[in-house]
Amino acid sequence: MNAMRQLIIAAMTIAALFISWAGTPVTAELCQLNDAALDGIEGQAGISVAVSEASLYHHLDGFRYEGTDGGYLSLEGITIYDGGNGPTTYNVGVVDTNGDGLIEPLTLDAFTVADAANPIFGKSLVRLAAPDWLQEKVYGIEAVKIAGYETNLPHEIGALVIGPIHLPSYELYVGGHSDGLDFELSATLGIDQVRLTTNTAGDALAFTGIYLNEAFEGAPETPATWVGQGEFRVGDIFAGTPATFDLGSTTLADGSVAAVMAMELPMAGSLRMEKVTLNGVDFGPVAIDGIQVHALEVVFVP
Amino acid sequence: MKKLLVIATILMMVPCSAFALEMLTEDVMDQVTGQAGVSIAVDDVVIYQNITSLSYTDGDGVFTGDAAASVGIANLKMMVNINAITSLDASGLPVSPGQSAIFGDYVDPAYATFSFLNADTDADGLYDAFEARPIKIDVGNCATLTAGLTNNNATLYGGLLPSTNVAGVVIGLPTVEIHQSALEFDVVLTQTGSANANTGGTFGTISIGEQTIAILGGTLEIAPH
Repeated sequence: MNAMRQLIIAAMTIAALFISWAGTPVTAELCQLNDAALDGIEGQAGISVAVSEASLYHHLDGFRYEGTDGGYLSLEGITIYDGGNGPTTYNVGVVDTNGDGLIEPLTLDAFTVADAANPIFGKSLVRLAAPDWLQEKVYGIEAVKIAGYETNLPHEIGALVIGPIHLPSYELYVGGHSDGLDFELSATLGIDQVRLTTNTAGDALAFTGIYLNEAFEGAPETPATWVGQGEFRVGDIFAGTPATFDLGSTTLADGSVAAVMAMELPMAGSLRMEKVTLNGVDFGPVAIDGIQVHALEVVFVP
Repeated sequence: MKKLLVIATILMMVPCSAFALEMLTEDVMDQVTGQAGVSIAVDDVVIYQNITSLSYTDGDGVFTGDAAASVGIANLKMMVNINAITSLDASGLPVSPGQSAIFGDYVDPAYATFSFLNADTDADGLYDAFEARPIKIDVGNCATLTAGLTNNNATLYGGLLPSTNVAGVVIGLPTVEIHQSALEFDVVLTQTGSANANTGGTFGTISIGEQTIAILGGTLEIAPH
């Protein structure tokens, strides 16, 4: 019996020794990649974002802008929804909304213009692009009120409904010049209706079928033939005429020095509306084609 | 002696080797499947936010020779409440568990109660049920981005892309209400130098009433390109 026990213990000892030595003592360590190996690795720049059936309601009790003299513009009871009884929905990169046969997500990139022949060679820009943006979005505003600075008593001008708003595609470039901002915003926009109802009888001023594009096919007097082409553009960075935003203390026309906010807003495109109605009277379509604003300076002086 | 031998045996069982990482071959890695992703529920969150000032400064003015100026907002304070929407009541209005109830009433004064249904259980293309959803974060195949690239492969790349699968982060949006208290702030233009006609000028005051946002779901995919 003692021998058996000793034999078992010896066997266990040998087995234990075998187990402890069985693992391969490999020591792995980080290896430095040489240039040739690094050459084979591609880097990623920029991000793509797709949105599928993002739905939300949004309600604000009100939005008010009041000047330093007490006068104000107030929008009360703002609801953002689909115009019926559902939420606003967003789909980005899900369907082809701009009609180019492609389905593209929202992209965000930062780059430097590398073409030496380009007027803005060497300029660094951030680009946000959404070629296929699908939304059902309506702004319902229960009351629009204006108060004059003389008496500050509000006057309600009516209830406002804007939408559904369609934004099939848009693109934004942002860069800098010294300490100011350069930007270019281009977009196609469609608004089914902007309707201001002025009384409980339903009298209203309405703008129906509003479209912003680069240009339109179809006769201006026949809205059914309209086909929008391209995007309405504010600023043209690659042509060297961006929209700009600056702040500063500057000398005004009257010789005084004041702090101002200044914007340059060159723009190009076309605006059409299918009809304008006032209390049910149809004034017909509106077409403003070939808009070319080479320079538009807007200066805000508080 | 026997006791020493037993103790020695036990000690010998303790591994003394230095284990190190092993490089896996491609074939081995092909067999590996992992679990990825988290679900995050957010409820009864209360946030107080105070922004003393937020401004943008243009150091070189508008025209040559101008002095610098800044535009910004000051003294912005707000309270934000975030509550999960986990069910609908008998009237079809959202309900949140926990200590804090839903803030919004979501009843349009002129029309029927809004619909908060967000699930299509019978696949007829119409929402017929409400499904409570947490935030979901996964890493893997982005279905929407992949579908778009598959469509574009034929048109843009002549069908020559070796693969149209897009991998990235997939975020499932939650059913949640976000409520923000009313807030007010001045838009202030601050200039350099005191000899200005509008020293201390402000563009006015912006007031925003209480805001309520109800998110009912959706998916966000983010991938590098």
